[in-house]
Amino acid sequence: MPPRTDIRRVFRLGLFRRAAAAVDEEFAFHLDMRASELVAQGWEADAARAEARRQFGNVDEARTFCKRTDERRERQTMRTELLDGLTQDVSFAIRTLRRAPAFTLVAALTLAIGIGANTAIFSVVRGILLRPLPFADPSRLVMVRSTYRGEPSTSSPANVADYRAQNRSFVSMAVLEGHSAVLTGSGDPDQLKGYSVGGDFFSILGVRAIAGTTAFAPEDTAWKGAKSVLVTRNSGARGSVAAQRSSVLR
Amino acid sequence: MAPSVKTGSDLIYGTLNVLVLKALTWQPMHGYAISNWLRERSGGTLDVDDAALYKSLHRLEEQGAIDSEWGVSDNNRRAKFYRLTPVGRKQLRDERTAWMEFAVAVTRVLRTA
Repeated sequence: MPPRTDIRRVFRLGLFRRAAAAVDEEFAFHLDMRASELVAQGWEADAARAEARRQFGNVDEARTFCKRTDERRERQTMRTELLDGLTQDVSFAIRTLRRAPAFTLVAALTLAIGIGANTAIFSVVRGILLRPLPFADPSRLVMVRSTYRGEPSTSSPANVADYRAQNRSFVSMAVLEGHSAVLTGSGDPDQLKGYSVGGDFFSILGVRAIAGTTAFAPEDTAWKGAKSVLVTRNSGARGSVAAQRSSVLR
Repeated sequence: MAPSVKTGSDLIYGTLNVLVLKALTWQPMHGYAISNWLRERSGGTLDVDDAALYKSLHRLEEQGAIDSEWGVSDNNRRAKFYRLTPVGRKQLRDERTAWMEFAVAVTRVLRTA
């Protein structure tokens, strides 16, 4: 008797091995039967076994062929069973959900809120933690800062010069300092937030200008009072680059 | 399926399948019984290779023409019994017709030659 379908499903893992064993048993039965028939005709036991094999033909080739065929058939049966099961489960789920609309609504809402919250949180995480910085070679970019009694602190120009002179860890270094200014004279006063940066800051980050240039000499000349350059970014908030430039120049 | 002749004393291709299906018309049988049935019925004319017989059985089972279950043989041993399915019954009808027509055609050619 073949095992029942539901039981076979449980023991599905052993299916292929069982298929192979079945072929072995089937062939063994045939060879034994043929041999005992020959013995009944007066053959010696050993000779009878050999003759049974000879009459059978290429036992090993046939064995391999049959095992492969059975495996393929088992796989096909498994696929069909799996698909049937899936179809049954889905139609059962749909029927159940249709019978209980309140539950369906709550379940759908729960899923929607859960997915929404996950998406929102992931968007933030991605923006802050996962998305690479929009600079050249972001994985090799680090920020170094001085501390004073354990607190973040500014670095003096002389210290920066020392860092740079004794640097063996970085390809190049640029200075950066938070800076804010108040813009007046064009309507309402506006607070501008920005940074004072060294001249080679942009070339290290690989940032190029849309208009004008970002190729400057290192700051050594700048903080000796040579010249300062204003670089703005193209944020929609304060209008186009041209508009910003005109407002700054005024 | 157009029959084609294979080399030497081999059976004409596809013929073994028909013979196997025919053997299973009356009752389920195991491979050994089918092997003996073929020997007896053909009066020893058809030298059926048992290896080819089993390959044919497993292939027919894969195609759904026959199915199998384990049972007990006459001498109380576990044996795999094959049984014709409705698909196999139809296949036997079709192939028998094709075979008869083929045989008639070949005979006619040989007679006139």
